[in-house]
Amino acid sequence: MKLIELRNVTFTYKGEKKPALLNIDLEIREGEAVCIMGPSGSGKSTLCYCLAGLVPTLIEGRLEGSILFRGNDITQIKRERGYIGIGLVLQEAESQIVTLTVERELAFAPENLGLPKNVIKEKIQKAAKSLGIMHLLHRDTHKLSGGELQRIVIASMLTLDPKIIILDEPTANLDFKGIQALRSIFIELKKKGYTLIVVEHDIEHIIDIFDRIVVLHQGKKVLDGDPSSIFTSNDLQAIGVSTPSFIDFYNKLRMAGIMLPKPPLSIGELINMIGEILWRSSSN
Amino acid sequence: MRTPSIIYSIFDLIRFEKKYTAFHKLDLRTRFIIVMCLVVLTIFFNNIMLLLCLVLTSSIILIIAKEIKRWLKNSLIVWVIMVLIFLINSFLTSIHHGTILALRFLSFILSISILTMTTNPDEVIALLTTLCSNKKIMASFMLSLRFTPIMVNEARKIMEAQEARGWGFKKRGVLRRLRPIIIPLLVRAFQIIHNVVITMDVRAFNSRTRRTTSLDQKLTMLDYIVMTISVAITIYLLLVI
Amino acid sequence: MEELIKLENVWFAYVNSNYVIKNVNLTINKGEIVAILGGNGSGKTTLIKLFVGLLRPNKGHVYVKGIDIKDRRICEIAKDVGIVFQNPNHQLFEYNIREEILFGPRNFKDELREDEVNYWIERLDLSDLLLKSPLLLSEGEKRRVALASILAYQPDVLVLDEPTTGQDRGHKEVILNVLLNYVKTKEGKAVVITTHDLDFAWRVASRFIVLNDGEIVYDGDPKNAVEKGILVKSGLKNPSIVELGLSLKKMGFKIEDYDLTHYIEILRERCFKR
Repeated sequence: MKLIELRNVTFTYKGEKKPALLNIDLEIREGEAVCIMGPSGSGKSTLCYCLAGLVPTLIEGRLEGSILFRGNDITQIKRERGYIGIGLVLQEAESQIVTLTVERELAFAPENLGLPKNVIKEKIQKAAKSLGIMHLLHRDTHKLSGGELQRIVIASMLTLDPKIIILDEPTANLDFKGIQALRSIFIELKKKGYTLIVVEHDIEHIIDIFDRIVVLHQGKKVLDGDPSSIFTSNDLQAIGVSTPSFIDFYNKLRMAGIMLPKPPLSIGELINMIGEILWRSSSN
Repeated sequence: MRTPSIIYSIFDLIRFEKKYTAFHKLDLRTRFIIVMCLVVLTIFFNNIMLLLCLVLTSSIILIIAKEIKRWLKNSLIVWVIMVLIFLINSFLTSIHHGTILALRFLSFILSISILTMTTNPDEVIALLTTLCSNKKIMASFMLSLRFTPIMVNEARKIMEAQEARGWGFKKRGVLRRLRPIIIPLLVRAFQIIHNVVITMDVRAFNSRTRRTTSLDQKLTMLDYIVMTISVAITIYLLLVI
Repeated sequence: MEELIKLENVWFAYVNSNYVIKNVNLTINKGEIVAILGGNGSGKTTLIKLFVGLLRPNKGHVYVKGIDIKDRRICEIAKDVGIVFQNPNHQLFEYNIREEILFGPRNFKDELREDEVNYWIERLDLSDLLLKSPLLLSEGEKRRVALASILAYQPDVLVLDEPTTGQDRGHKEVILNVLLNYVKTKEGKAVVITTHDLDFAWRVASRFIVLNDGEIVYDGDPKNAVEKGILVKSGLKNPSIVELGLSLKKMGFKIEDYDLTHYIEILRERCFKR
């Protein structure tokens, strides 16, 4: 089921001459986990805004082409309802928290929707449980760590019951443990049926959760496919997208004549594949 | 850049610290009424003994709220001003009058401190939300409370980053000297505002439906009792004296 | 003297808080590239702020080029210890890149020569951006401008806080080369980086310092650190090239060097024996 559809979208920010996005055709289907990659300045954040339905109603500029959500034009939905209902988690979690306590933060969206008190309380509990932040509910928002803030922002998006959650470079300020925790959250969300769109520079640690990679370059969509085929493509180096180290190794091993069956999606997988090849060659 | 300790102590008298005492359990409205009663009595009492009683009462409240130590720690400037008031007025009018004004000042500061030290900004927002139905006004108020400390923090980070590049080394005109701080601060402010606007929109702030609230803002029996007693005593004392 | 920065029994705590730096002893010497590693909250950023005097130790001493920084002002110390912070938006403010790069040098000596400025512009691949205001660049470009602005006055110790966040592969290489050359061609310089990117740290650093909860748990050779499992013990991940090498070792291969060409040689030997 097509959730979001961008049809020949070209978008130029107000006051700029060069378009940030050029002739983008993109479909996001229900349940997918898509990663959007591309060098700095390739239009990734603009694409996020388009997918979240913020263009052109909130973000000013000239939009050509159409953006559809479940088959309906985004501008129309916005005009009728006032909101779209797609979750968007930006890079600086701190500037996305608008209230003074965590509980009030999670209540913010459902209160805006005019929901009754008991429903709001239910949603808060559910979202807090999903993100493991029950113990933070009564805390003040200005005394929390970056990782905690990020979880709170994701949880506050969940209270909207969005079908889709878009995240812009969520691993940027996380350490290794933090990325593992984020990975678990993504896996949980996928299991619950959410569609995930993640913009990332470096997906070494989370590549295995994605079904699809979309690569942008200078505002255009240049590659769109599954991780294995994208990362073995020769164009990536020219574009400037970081390839996970283990896929780099895979490619170099192949060039040296050591043929592994398929591109690995983790260093562990690579090691296993090497182990198998050795075992097979020794038993011959 | 280190903040002078006098300024730090003034801020600390205003700063809220989360504690769980009997006094904190009272609703914000109750505490406000208590403090207002004290302030009103401070203004009208003209007797040294009575003013001392007020000072004692405020101190007892601070003790109950477990804030007396913090108050005393930061009270240097209060004592200094008190002495100044005493000296100046004793010289201009009489020692008696000077004492009265000094005590009045002390009582006033103590009462206000009770309020500032025990009030959580979140409670203020919560109370105002139930009273005011205009979501845009409420949002502005809440956002300013939320983001003022963040902007102060950003300014500090910018100063650190620029000091690490040698800013502050050569003395120039005030405006030129501040440019490396003001411009990044404005840039950061715009970036943060940009994110806030997007977040509010994504979380349906601009939806057409009427906003509801999930707050429980109830006044308990204790609140009513305390409020009634405070007001009653105040009125009685005003009439009698 | 070889020691550029020395921390002696340094303890640090923020106001009304627990110690975040506990009894740290370390020296940064000429010619070194040191990577300070540790999880979020381990104290990495606090530590580098102590190097330049933005924070002063509660206990212990910090020496820069042999002199205790106790009575020195930050802007003086900054001439010797240049820090490129994580968020370039906290630093950029000038009308164009050239002015931005000249800001630091102007604070310490006087003008840079035209060719010196051009050198840094080219070195960091900023030639296309000359006409743009630094405020309108992409985040990656801003980071490179911030880096250029510190490189321009050639501090004896160059400190970078998370230099590879948000950088494309090409620009990571540029930064890598800039850092390697900084200690090689410039006499008596040192580089310190804090990073989560173990692969980058492995390629660039001659020394690892691992911080855990404010204490140094390892200070020395990177190779030793990975072989003793120090990184994993501190909740960090081994560099991928090392991970591969360690696994090959476990499979029985003799690994002398953590290098892909070496691995390929060994594997080809085994696979194509017959």
